[in-house]
Amino acid sequence: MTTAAARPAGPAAPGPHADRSSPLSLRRLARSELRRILSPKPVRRALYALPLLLGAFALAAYLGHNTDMATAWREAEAAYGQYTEEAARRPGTAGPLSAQYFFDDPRYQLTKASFVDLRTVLSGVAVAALAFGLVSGGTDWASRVILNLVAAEPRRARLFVTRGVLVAAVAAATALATSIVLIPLLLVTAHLRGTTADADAHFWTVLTTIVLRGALLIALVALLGYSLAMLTRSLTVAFGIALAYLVVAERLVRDYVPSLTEYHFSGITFAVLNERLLMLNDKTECVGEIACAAMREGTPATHAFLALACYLLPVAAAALWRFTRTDIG
Amino acid sequence: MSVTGTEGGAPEILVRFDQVFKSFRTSRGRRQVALDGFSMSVPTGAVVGLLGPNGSGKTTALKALLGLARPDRGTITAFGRELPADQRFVARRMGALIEGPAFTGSLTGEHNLRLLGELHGARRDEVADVLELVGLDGAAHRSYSGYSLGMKQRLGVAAALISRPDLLVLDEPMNGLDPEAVRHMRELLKRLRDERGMTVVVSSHILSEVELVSDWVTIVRNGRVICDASVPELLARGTSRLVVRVHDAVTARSVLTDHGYTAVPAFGPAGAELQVEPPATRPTPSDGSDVLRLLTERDVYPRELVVESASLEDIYVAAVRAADAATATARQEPRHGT
Repeated sequence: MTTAAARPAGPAAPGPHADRSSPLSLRRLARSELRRILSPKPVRRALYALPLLLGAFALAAYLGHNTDMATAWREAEAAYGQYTEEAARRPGTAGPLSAQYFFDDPRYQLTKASFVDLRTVLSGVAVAALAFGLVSGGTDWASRVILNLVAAEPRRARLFVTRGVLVAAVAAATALATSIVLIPLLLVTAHLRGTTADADAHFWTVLTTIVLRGALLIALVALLGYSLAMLTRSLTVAFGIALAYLVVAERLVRDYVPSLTEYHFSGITFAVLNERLLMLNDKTECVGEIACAAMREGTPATHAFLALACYLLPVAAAALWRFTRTDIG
Repeated sequence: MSVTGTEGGAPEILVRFDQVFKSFRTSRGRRQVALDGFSMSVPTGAVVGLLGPNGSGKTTALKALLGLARPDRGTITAFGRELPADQRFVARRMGALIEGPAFTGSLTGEHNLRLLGELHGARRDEVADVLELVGLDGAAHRSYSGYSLGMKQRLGVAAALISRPDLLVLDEPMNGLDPEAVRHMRELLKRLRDERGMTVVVSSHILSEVELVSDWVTIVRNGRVICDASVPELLARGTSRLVVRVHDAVTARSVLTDHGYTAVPAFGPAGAELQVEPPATRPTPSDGSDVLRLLTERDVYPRELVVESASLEDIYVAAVRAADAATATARQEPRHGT
């Protein structure tokens, strides 16, 4: 550099804010990033809407059940009468069924219905968690805020991991909060419109286990979404990949690798939230071919988590590598 | 200007790029050189203007300083620490607006700044102060997506200031600003330098603004620094242009060309005139007295003689042309050699 021109010499101006020279603490980073993760409008709206959705779900469960056993029995006996008439007309075409077979208990039976309802809600939260992870990882790339973040915290691995852990923690906390709000609502529904008979200590242990498994599943799914967005560095591309997977992969797996059908996203979700492996129940509902395949196969939760890890680990590792080893922006 | 220096008068250097190389692959897989032996120094307490055409490597150099891009070779030191090894130390002392402002559109300007400020431990009142400093206090609670381009730029500068840095790095901060906002930005940069002792590196295409605000100018072309000097020195280096308005232009031209001057007849707003350039051998720029003496000695009396100083734009254009010519010559030499 040319220094021929006269320049005034003098004491070095002290840094105006030397107190800011301490490195960015993990606590401050985590607090700041937590606020950032929760700040996008869709995230805030979803969090505000969640209690309302749970209330609506519980109301639907309440309205969908009643305690009128007599009517249900009359309908069951009518159906049974029709069956016996048919059997008399065509002997040998029907087996010896009792009226019990035609009886559909109209009450809300906590020990059976709560598992189905919990699974339905947590499956929805899992899909939302995937979207949340994608938004958390992708928004800052879309707005290029990531440039500011990396400039402020050059330890990129620390930034990546902190944000990832926070995304997973927020998703898990949301799943737990959802369960904590939903279960008492279902309990009230069972009291008013059904029965809590058989809700013994074992039932509550199983329910707690499923809630905890669900929270872990949802945390990992959110982390998968976050990693995917951080890898692609584009919210649109990441959403596109996720959507394509959910829509196309089911058919591809079913057609070309049927032995792996149960390890599709919906199969994994069902396997993790399946109570039948923990508790003897005569009623378990599965929705969709893949979830029912997981139920038929009796896929254990550990296998489901391992399958999820097979999705997550390569994506997370590639995202971390790209984030820490390549240029930003 | 308050550039700090050592006892011998040499400036204290806050940032130094030394032979930095950086290339990257384009989307078509071609290797593109962004920095090609880039070397520059930033004196402490100065406002340094970084000039160069699009794609010359200005932003890449700033990104390398901020730790967003990693050089292939060469060294960068800032605050006496080597980068990127000590990026942590340096990051706490730098604030930057790089590649335009970057904020979340759905949040207000204040909310965006608060989120960033939290990372730097800034309190709410400090956020308000910075917003006031850039003149956005009246629009703090409006959604960022509703901001004009100038307001977005000002919020970007506010974000760079929120960490209360010692070194401010601004990439094209004047983009999209109206004349009043440009003046506000210029005054702000001067205040930051004079009142807070901040060192500022500002890249810009608006040469007249850089001339008004900068103490130092670095001109970049094809990833190399082709000119690096203080503004007064640079302006002194520039060739002044003399305009002579005279009745007998033919004689005047003859007199001047006889003495090695270049005199080009032209027709200006005040009628016929000669645009005069002193001989290339002349050691110092002409102040016009030499031309006046030569003409009056031959009884040619000009109606008017105007000395037009070279602007930063003239110097910039000359430097870029000279660099291009040197590059072309360097390319041709190997061909001739074979």
